[in-house]
Amino acid sequence: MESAERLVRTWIASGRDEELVQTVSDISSGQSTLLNVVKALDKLEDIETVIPALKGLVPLTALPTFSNADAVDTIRALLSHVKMQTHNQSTRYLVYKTLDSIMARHRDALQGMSGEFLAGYAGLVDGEKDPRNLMLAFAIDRVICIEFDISQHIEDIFNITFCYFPITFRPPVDDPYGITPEDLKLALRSCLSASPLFGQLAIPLFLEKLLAGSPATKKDIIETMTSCIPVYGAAVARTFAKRLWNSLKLEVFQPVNSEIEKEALKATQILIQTIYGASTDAQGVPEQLEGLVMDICDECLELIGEPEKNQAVPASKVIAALIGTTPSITLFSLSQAITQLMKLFRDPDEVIHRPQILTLLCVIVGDLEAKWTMLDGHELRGQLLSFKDDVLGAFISGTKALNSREAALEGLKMLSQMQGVLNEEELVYMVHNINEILQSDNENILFSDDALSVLITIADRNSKIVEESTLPLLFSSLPDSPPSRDARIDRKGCWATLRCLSQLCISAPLFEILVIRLSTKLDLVCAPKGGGDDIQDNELRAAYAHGILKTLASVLELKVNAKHSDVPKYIDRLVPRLYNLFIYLALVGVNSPSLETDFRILNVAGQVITLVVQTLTIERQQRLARELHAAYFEGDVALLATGHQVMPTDSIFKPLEASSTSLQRNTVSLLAAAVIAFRKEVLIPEIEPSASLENFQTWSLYYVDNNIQRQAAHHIIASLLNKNTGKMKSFISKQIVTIWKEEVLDTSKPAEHRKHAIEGWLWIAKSLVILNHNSVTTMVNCLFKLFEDPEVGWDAARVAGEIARGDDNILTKQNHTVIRILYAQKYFNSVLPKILTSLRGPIQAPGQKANLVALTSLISSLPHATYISEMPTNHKLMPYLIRGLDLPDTGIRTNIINTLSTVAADGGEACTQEHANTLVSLMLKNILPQELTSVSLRAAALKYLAVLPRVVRYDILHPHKASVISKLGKALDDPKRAVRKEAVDTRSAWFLYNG
Amino acid sequence: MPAEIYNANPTVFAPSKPSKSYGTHSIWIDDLDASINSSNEDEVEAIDSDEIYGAEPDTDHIRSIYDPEHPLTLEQLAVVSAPQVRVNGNHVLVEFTPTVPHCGASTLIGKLVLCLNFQYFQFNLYKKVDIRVKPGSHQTEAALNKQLNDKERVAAALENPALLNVVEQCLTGQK
Repeated sequence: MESAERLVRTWIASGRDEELVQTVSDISSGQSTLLNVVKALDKLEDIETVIPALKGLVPLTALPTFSNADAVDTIRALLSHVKMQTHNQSTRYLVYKTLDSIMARHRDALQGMSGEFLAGYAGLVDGEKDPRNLMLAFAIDRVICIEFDISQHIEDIFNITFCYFPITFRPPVDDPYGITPEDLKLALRSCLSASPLFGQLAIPLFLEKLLAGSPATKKDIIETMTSCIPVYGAAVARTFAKRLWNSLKLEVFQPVNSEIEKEALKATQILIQTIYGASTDAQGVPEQLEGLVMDICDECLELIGEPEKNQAVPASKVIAALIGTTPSITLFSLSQAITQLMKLFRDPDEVIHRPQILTLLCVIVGDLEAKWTMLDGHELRGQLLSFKDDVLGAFISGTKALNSREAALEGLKMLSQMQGVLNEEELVYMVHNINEILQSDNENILFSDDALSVLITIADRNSKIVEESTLPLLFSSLPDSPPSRDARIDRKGCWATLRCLSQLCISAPLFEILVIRLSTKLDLVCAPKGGGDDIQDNELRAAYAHGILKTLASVLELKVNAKHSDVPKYIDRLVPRLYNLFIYLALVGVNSPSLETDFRILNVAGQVITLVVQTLTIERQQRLARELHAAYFEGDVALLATGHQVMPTDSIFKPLEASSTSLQRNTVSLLAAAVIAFRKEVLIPEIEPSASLENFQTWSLYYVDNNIQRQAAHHIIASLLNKNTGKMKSFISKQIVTIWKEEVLDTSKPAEHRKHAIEGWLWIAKSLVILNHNSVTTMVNCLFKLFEDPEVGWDAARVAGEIARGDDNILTKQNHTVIRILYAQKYFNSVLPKILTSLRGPIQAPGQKANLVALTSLISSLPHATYISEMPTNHKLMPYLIRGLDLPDTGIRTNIINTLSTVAADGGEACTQEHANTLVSLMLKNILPQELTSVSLRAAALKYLAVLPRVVRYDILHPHKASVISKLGKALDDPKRAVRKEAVDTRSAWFLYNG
Repeated sequence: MPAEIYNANPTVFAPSKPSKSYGTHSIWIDDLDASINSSNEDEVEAIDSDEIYGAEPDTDHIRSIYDPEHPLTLEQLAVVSAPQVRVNGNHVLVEFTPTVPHCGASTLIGKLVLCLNFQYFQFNLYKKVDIRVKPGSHQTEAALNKQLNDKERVAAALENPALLNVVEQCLTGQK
């Protein structure tokens, strides 16, 4: 003990604060020691010793031996000796820490001090401004308000809390404490709403502040009112009811923004609840309503009486806010408002205002819908349901007129969402009426979205109604043969119907019907009984079939993403019919009008197949692989392709043989569609894995005659190779040893052939790079050596950049591809230095342009997170990208500009700023239509110009402003609408660009 | 906001639905919303009234200019409408209807439309833009038309920073 005392004395004499904490933690017991410390507080007047003394107090107060008596002494000492105003922020912080600690542990002692403490405390915190200290002060204030008897000191406490309201604090940029205005607001709000005694004083203050408040503070003020009014209680609320409503009304009827409007409505609701909530008796007998709620209702109903006016909508929102306050008010306001609206709706003079009347009704019904589950508990259900017939009738008859249709449909949607409101009969009636809208020809495009969303809501609840009445109607409106070329309205109708179906038929039972009906339709469209060889006719058929397949594909995609369990069964119901149809078409040789149309159908049919195969189990996939093998390799299509078309006997299906026709070869894309979705270990049976890939490679190099066939082969190779690398070692080694030499390096082969071979390599490299396979390096080095080749150098360069590109939809997780993490980053890090090294050579050196192409293709093919870290540290990249803008290829330039945009918008501000001048003049070269240009290039350049004012300091670009604006003026006359739109945006960005 | 409110509780109209008239010539379903890339490079798409009035509500067309008095667009107040915008080659005529005949904000609205067209947005100086009040809808119709089509006067008015501020607020819809 003595040693401790000595230590304390030494410390006080020396005033060295580091020792203090040490000392204090050494002291484990003994009140007298602590008292000594407390007595040392006498010296608190001296600035020299007060800081260490306070530092000592913080840990001391937390010790278990620190008694209530000590607490009282400490507080007294603090109150009498510490002059808060003379200390800096961190010293005051220590005082608050001490107070906070004592408040937490010795509250009863402080309560014993009562008046002395409260008065002293109010003086202590007066004038505090630091946010960190205020956070503590507010916490202490709240405890005081709740746990202390403050009735004698209410004004003091009011003054030290309400003086901060509303908080307008804006944190400094580099605030080390990270206190946000939101933290302060919440802390203060919890003080203000801590005691009902504030009521009389607070509400006038709220109203005054609200009147003068800026939009930023208004929201805070209203939110605070919302949390305070229930605490202040019904009596206070009633006293100020009129004034409160008048202020809130202003915020609802002339809202600054929708957020404040919403808060004001909520506050109104709370106000009503506070005033009337207490007086509702338990039995729910409606009490006599009078006072504020009557005034509000009268006022709003009067405004609703003129539904076409601006203020009717806020008035209906107020009525809606009254819903759910108390049962009797809900019932009263609803019955008044709905009766009034119904009267207006039936009034022949008001017919032209029906859309607005329905909009108001929607506002009220919408709120009712949102609170429906809550209201259900109030036993109001029966009474509320009595309005149902009127409202439903109004909405239904609203759908008949064009101008009120939108509001009516929205109302119907909300009605159908309310649990248990409409019975089945009423739903059928509703669906029937909506069907009429879908049927009416002229406007169905405009309203089908609204009508559909109602149907989707109903289908969720009760799919049978939709299935029985809407679907037959939609299917019957799809013709068996496509509308003629000039029948644009019919075609629009067809597309609209398909779109409706694709949104409606997502649930399992509806989708099943969709598949049956559409696949039948597809057979009829593609292989008509009469057969027509008119070329035009065929393109129309192709487009129609494409539309149908697209519908199926889009629904399937939704279902696969949502993991619906009914997808796999369509391997038996849909996929064989597709194979049947397309193999039949290839065999009978119906001339496709152009390759392009054929591609589109095959592509989308492939999508459907891929989506279904993705979901299959490994066993089912193996079975499919055997069926595919039988069909594509042996010519036996019976297992794979069952369906309506009877295969001709005179021609054999052998797409992979040299003697095959082009049409047959095209169907290999459907084989690819299935193969790319195979799981690991599923292979084409009965052929040695490496050999099968080699066969496809040879086929793709020598037999194919168009891109869809070539792509199909590439996809098959890439997908199988990725999933079965272990079994394909000989295939990989053969690439580098023979294929590269014979197919690519051999200059006697035509350039086209070599380009195709490089393209094939790209896919092999792609499938390996995502495995981080080590042979990729060798392959890329081969590509680099080819850069100086005059014929294929650029292709090699582009391919070298694109290898790690991940957006091909073929090698994806959904397709069960094996993907290692960060493969793109690894590839980037290994290839970039190589390109940069060769770029550093003389500009005229051969292969330099190819290197630029490789760089731009590398950067633009990777997600921006991969390279953004290189941008600021590695200033070398920017000049090369800028050099790339001189390349003649518009696609490359577009890619560069898009890359620059991402860089500028995200993390590359500094390097953009540095090159801003050059960039502006380069972009201006690209925005006007001239020889080497494209729509997307011009749009991208304009977009980039619009980004610059956001990221570059004004003084840097000031010299360019006039010339940019005048050049942009010319871009406004661009022949393309899309470019003009960009030009408009860019021009406004530059107009508003000021120092 | 101007100190005096000329029409405190105006009638509100529902905005018209967007007309999806572009790109319906194709017989293929996905060409309906043809993107930039698939459009034919040589085909010229002429400016039409939809492009000035706005095919659907967004921020840079006449229909979405905000009224100086209310947080409502000119379209919602039926001050402007699609048929009131006419394009004829290089000549554009925009007509607007003040909500009340004594509306003092008419000059401002006219200036807004002009500004949008002229300075910030759609046209360059080769196009002639005329703007006029709908005949019979305003007390001082002739004076108003004269004032609005005196481009020097409009330009001079826009030198006033306070006015320019109001114009920018109404164009962007930010208060």
